[in-house]
Amino acid sequence: MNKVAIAALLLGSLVGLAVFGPMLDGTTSADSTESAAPPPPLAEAPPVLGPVPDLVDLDGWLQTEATDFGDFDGRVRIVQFWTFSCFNCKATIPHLQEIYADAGPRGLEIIGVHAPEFDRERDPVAIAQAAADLGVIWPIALDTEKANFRSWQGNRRFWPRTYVIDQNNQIRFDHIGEGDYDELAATVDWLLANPPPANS
Amino acid sequence: MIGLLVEGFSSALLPCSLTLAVPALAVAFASRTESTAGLIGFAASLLGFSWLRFSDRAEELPRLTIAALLAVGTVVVVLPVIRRLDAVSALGGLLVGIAAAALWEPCVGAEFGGLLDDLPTRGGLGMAMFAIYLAGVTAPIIAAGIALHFVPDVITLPIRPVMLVSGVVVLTALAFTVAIGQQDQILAQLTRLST
Repeated sequence: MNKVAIAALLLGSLVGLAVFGPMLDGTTSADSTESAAPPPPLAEAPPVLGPVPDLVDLDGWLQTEATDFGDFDGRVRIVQFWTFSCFNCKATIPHLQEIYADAGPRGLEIIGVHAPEFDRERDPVAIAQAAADLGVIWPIALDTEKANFRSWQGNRRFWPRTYVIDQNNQIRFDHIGEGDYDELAATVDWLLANPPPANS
Repeated sequence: MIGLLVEGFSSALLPCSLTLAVPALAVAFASRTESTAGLIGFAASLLGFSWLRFSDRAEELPRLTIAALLAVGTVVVVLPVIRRLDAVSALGGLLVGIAAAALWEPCVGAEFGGLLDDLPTRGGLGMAMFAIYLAGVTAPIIAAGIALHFVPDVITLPIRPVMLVSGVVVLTALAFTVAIGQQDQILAQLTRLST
């Protein structure tokens, strides 16, 4: 195989994608930038994406007296799958802290489902220490064998993944990765201000 | 689009991408003089299958199927009885690439996250954007493979058996640990060694 041709092809592909890619749909990285202003309220109710699965086969809980996911029924909840050494998970924490400080007193609960990627992330003591270091002050469910990480996300499994659950145990927001904090906050605000009728 | 490429490149340097880097480099080592062909096969199937998977167009592969892909891919990459051909190495890389795509559980930033949210409803454009991200993720791996290809034979010749054995050992160990559902363990060990 012609070495120079291969190298040129690969380099050319990268440069071409980077240069001409934006012309495909006009998307730029600036589109994902979010302002520091308060998030605009949602124009309509967040869609119902389906019933929330249970959290099963957990290895326990940290930073809460709850022993079961059902203990949080009836509240608006943010459920985030994370692991403490995941760079992208850590980047979401300041945003969750901000939302928790604002909406926690109004009834929001955040549940961090810790699904470890590597061995050292399986130790509850290490998780508790990391939570303290990172400022994670909400309840943590220990999904050590990643049973829930797999059952909730199916074939599309990522760190982090953030859901909002309404008072009737329906998923109303589902986002993969960092970002979308304004919509996350607006969804929480909308659900707290407009609780759905029981069992609607 | 540039943001996707940069984010992909950043992700390549994180432990989350070891699931891709470990088998890719093992393919490069095991296929030795045909490392570029092996890695091109790997990157092509990684792109195709991970796009199918993350856009909800493919079912989850059973663990034993992934293990079999790794095992057969290893044999094809190092087939000793056939004269080395680009196509053979590329096929081996392709099989290992499918397995890597099936095992990949990425850490996701804002740009890639925004793409993944809508990937099931996006068609060709979604795949093009996904390819840009993956180009960033695989750039260091491909660069390593190409660098290996350009190293003069006088340097690689004495260490080729070592490269072959190390590549085969890693791929075989990965196949075995996937078969018994403990693939995270070997990656954890490699992370520990690398840090």
